[in-house]
Amino acid sequence: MSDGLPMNLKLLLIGNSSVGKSSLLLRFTDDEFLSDEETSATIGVDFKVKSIEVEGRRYKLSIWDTAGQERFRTLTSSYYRGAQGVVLVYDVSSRQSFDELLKWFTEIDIHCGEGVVKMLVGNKVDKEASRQVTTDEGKTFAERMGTLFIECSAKTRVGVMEAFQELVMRILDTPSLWNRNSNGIRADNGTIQPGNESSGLLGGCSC
Amino acid sequence: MSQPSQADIFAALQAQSSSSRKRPPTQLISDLPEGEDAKASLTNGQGTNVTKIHCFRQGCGCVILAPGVGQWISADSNLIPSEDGSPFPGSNASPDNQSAYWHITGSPMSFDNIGFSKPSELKSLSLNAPGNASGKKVKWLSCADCDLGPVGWSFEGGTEAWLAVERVRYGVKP
Repeated sequence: MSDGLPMNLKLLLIGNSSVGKSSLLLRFTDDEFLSDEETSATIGVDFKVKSIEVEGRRYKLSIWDTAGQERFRTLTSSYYRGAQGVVLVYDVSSRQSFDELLKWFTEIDIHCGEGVVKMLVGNKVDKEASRQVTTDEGKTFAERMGTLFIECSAKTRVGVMEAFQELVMRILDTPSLWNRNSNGIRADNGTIQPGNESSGLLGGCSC
Repeated sequence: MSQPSQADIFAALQAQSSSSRKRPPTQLISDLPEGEDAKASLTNGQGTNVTKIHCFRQGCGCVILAPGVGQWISADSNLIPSEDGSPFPGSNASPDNQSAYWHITGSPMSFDNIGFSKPSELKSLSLNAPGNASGKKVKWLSCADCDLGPVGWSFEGGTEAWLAVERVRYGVKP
């Protein structure tokens, strides 16, 4: 475990209000055994910890929602700190949510630094009848911005897991991101410097 | 150092999606044989959990906590407010109105899989709950895969979390 591969990865969900970021964070399962009434979704999930194992090595993802802060246009820098991956979400039935992605790309460039892996997600493809952004437009924009691209629907869960899979694989392919621990930055002597606001349950861990 | 191939990663993620996940046998604390001491069955000499801790929902199987991560503590019963239609049993309180909880320290990454709610002021956690104090904002814990909750609590800006022993399942040793 000393070869520098990351154990903890921090992923962010970003985009305009009402594009379905929260619904992407909910429901990782194809859970036909669930009914909405049974879940605690009404409170709203802030972030999730998800473990995955690859070749006997475990990775823990912390996947963060914005808790509605995006309504104020900018998110606090502590939200971005230490992130290795960003999922930019727009609603294919909302032209505005697509047009305003550039603003979010700017935010990410300011706060996340270079190399952070970005993925563009066109959400709500179950609303095909009211689609305002074509698949080709999304694809072209993603190519222009150098990001991964997928269309999905949290309602039908088509493509949701694939979106996160793609992102994780790209992070593992980007060694410069590995030392970006979600609890701070790695100092020259190899110790983890805690971030100012990221202690405890609002941040990551240094293990 | 060789890196895992994309195919390896896909296979691993696939194996962990709940649809194809093999769900190991689990039990509730109420499934323990009558008269058996729950603490003795579920903890080791250091008082930490000896089995994996899973989602309460049998059909989910999500692993919440690895062995050795949670510390068995005793506190007041029914600290989490009960809701209509909740699938969770009430605390099986001892005569002194005490129940057990798993105490998790360090960080959210101490969990294998868990969801943290947004800071909540809607539902109140008992002020007798470990870690609680007036004015603290609660972040409820829920299953990361199926969202069933609350299974426990933590606090905004805190470093600890607590799981109710009756709201999770325990791996059964073969």
